[in-house]
Amino acid sequence: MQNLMIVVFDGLATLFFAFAIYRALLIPAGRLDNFSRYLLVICLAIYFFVSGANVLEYAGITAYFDGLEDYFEILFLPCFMFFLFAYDARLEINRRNRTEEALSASEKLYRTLVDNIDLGVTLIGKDHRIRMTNATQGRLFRRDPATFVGKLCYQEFEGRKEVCGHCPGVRAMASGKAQEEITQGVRGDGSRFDVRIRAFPLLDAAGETDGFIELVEDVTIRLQTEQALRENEAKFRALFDLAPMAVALTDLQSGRLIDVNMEFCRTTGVSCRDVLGRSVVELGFYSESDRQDLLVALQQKGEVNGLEKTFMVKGQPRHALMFSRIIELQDNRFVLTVFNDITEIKKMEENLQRIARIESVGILAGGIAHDFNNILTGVLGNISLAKIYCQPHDKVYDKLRETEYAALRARDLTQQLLTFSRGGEPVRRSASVAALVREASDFVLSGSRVRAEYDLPDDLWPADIDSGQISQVVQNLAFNAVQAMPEGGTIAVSAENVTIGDHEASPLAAGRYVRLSYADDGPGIAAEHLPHIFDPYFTTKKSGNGLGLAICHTIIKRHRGLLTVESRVGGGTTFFIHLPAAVTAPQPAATAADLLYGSGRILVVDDEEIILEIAREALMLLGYEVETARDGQEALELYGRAREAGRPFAAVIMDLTIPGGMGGKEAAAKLLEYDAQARVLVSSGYSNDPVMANFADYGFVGVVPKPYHIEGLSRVLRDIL
Amino acid sequence: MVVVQESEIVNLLVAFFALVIVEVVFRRRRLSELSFFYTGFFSLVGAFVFTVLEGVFWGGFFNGLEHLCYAAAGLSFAVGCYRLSSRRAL
Repeated sequence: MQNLMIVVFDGLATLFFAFAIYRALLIPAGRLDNFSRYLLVICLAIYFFVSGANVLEYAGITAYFDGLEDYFEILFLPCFMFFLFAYDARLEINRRNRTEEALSASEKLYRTLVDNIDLGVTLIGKDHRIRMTNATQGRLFRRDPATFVGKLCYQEFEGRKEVCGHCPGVRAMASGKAQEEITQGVRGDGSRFDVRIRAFPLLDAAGETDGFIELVEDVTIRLQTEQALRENEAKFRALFDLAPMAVALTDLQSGRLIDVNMEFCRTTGVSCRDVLGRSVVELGFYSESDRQDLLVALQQKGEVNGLEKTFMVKGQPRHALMFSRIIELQDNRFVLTVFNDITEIKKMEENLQRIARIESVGILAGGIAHDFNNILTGVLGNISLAKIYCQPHDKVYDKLRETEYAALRARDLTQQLLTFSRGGEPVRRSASVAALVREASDFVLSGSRVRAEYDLPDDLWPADIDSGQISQVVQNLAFNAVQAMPEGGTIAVSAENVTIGDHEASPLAAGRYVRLSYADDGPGIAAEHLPHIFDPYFTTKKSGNGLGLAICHTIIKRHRGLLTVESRVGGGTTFFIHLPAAVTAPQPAATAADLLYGSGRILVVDDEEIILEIAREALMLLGYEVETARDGQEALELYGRAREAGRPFAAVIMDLTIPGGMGGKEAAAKLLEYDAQARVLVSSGYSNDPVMANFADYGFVGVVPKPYHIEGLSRVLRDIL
Repeated sequence: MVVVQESEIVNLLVAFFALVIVEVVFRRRRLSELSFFYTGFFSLVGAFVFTVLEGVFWGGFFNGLEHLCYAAAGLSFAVGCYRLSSRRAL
């Protein structure tokens, strides 16, 4: 029984070992090398043999190997030990292989990363010698990266002979932390470029600092872009700050001011620091409803262009021309508003409209004055003739003289109308300033509570003036003085001769002047108003139009003189008028006894029948032979025929303005082309027309302003003939 | 009467020595995949012990145990070789 059990056990063992040998031979080579395999097979074969021998032995079969199995068993243990050693060695080799493969893969991965990263990577030792660098570093420095290895970093990268003072690697090694620096690298071709270097300490296996790693980035374009952005920012900031229009950036929802420019603060009269963060409604610029209206318009159209809007500055309404647009900045919506304070422009527009109205009134006044002068010519001419026809001791003579005086006053009035309407060049003649000032002032002051005190020396030089215009100036000053002193007062009127030297600091040209001062003892003019009193439409009077002093200033300026003012509140006001002194004595007023007779043929050209009749009669009375023409064309024809007939005209009196026909200027030019020796006088109701003031420039030899009277006419003709 | 062969004594001594080596050197290392081989090896060491013991007392019993250990060792090696041959290469 026991033998049977042993046979079974050993039989099983034999089968198991046989199976084990079979499977051992199938073990993959990568798991078991041949040497280990053979050792294992030997081990298994020993016990296959031992088990098999035991089966035979206990089964009673002849045991050919009886006793041999004991020796085989002795072989098993060393074989098995060898197997274990061999297998262990094999495993160790495999482990090492795997480690090396992993290291190799890691090295490849690392190299791939380092070579393909868009940064220059360099390993540098403590001695600043380059140990390794990547391909990008070579591209950045335009060199073969292999040529860097073993060389000093500061020489290769920055072209220095010693360690860079700013070296981030040195700092990284000292601090143990990453350091950064922006500097300039030197390429292989010698050119420089901007680089940003990040350096990290490099530690050895013991954790000691062994050098550093540099990551190099080419930041040339970035720095240039940043610089361009900074410059753009500065440029647009300057544009923003210096823009002549107010600019404001406000939050869309709250209306709070985010940024404003200087013009905004100047326009709104608030400090830039005070407005930021506050809403336009809170600051009182707009009401909330106004702001909402603007927002609705912006939401609908996206932008608002040329919107006229009223905003408040210190409680006063101002007009703005506004341009707004919604913009998005950093996901927030803002309203960018540019506006211009057009309050002054609107005032100017109103002034222009007023000027246009005044100009149209002036044109009307000028036309009336022209026609009135023609009428006055008839009146004065007939009066002159009537005075000649009667005796000076007749009662009618006195009446004629008074009528003539009244007509002359009317002429002065038309003169003022013309000055107002055209503001034309003064027709200057030598005249006594003293007489004119006294007459004009008394005319205004009569009936008022203001009294004039004159200090007008007898040796006062005559001045080259347009008497009508200067009278207007004096009357304006006198009228202002009366208004300044409603309770009455005194005007000190004085005059003196002054000479302006070549080197004197004066707005006047060097020369001789008559200086007239006109001082009242009224309340004076406030200092802030003084610079503006000659500005058109500037007035402090409720009923004034602000034109009086402006016209005075213009008239004096056109006389090449100067009008100035000195005033002190409570100390009265003094106006000073400088007028150029005349080189000739004033022409005395002509009388009937001064009629200057002559002879010759005179051609009178005028479109007014009454003027032609007066002129004809007056000239014939003076001894001249007269022919008349109604326009320039007819005059040319008559002049030509008379010359061809051997009876040429001694002079031509040519009306300057002939409606619907050839006027005096054109006719004179053609006449002088025909006969360069022709003596042509210009006559006009527009006595301050530039042609009248500068008649010689147009070929005329003299002026006969309308309304003319016979004495003046006789003198002019005598002068030229 | 004690009947122990010299070879059995030598085998036992060598087995103990090998056992120390296996325990101290290999089983502490990463040879866990040879665990069935170790089991087979221990079974054979057991067989060596029983071989010696059967010569001293209870000869029949220990002889049976000895051959049972052979069968167990064969089974262990068979399973070990099967598992090792069934796995992929290292």
